[in-house]
Amino acid sequence: MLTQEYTKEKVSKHKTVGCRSYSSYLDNDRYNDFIEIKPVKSSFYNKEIAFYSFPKLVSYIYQNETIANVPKVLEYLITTVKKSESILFLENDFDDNGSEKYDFKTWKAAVVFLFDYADILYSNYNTLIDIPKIYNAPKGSIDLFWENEKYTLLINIDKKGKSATFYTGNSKGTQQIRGEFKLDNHMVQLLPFPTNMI
Amino acid sequence: MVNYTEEKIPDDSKLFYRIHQSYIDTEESDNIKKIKPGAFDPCPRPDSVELSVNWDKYSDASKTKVNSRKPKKNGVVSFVAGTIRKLPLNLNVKHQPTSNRAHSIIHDVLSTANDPEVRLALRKNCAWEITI
Repeated sequence: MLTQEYTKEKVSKHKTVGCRSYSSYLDNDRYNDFIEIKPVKSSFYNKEIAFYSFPKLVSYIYQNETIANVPKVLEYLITTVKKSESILFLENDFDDNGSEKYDFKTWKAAVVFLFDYADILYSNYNTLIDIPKIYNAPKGSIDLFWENEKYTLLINIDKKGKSATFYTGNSKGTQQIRGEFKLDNHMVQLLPFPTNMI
Repeated sequence: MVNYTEEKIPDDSKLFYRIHQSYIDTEESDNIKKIKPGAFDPCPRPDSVELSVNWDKYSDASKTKVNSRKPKKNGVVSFVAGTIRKLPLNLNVKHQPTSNRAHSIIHDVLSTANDPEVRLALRKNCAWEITI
């Protein structure tokens, strides 16, 4: 087993997408999700940690356009995204109440945000997000919706695909957060973590 | 045209609201979970911050369904006025008769029209009267 000393220089040369304890990735048997896994020793923690370099990517393509290159470990999200393609087939007045059809750019913004959100939470926090529903929502906007026995999270992507509003709460009703953010300029660590892993 | 007088809606009144089939998730079996949060659009018209409903004093679930453009594509849920007023969301219920004497509104919806919290609260506090 290759063991090398952890240095900033070595880390910076890699497109590091994740870092966690060595035993953790062995336990989870995710070797195949990465082209290269380098066990390295952390002088800071005085133990081996793993740098996940160069993840295998899966391309998610819609009508000949590559929407996102998704790390293989997040491939499980593609099914729900594919289902959401049906939103793009809704015509004007689809609800017989004057609602307008959905823009491709809105849907793409929602999908790309979801993959980015999942990627950052996985690579930085070793967390796999739960699978959301992707729904048509009022006034040309799109909802990302998580609902299970522990929590609810609704993120609404506006029609322009620029901004989002969200509300989340636990099922006990003892905790709730609401807020808004810009899709192209936000700190993921300030958003809810939609996962039951923690 | 008859001018109906605006009345106070008692807390125990029911308010009927249509749910269009495009806002039903057919993969969900739970009666409430199958309703997409987008079904509750607090401003179906530009610059409006109202959710139009029908008061049970002058209407019922069947009439609410039949009066939609395509009744077969709509179900009907109800809210209890007092429950809506008690939500910590600054919502109120008001009778606002038009040519439809039952017409009422859930109003003072928070400024962000797509407010996910409002939509989830309405979804959580509705009950099916006529399912799709």
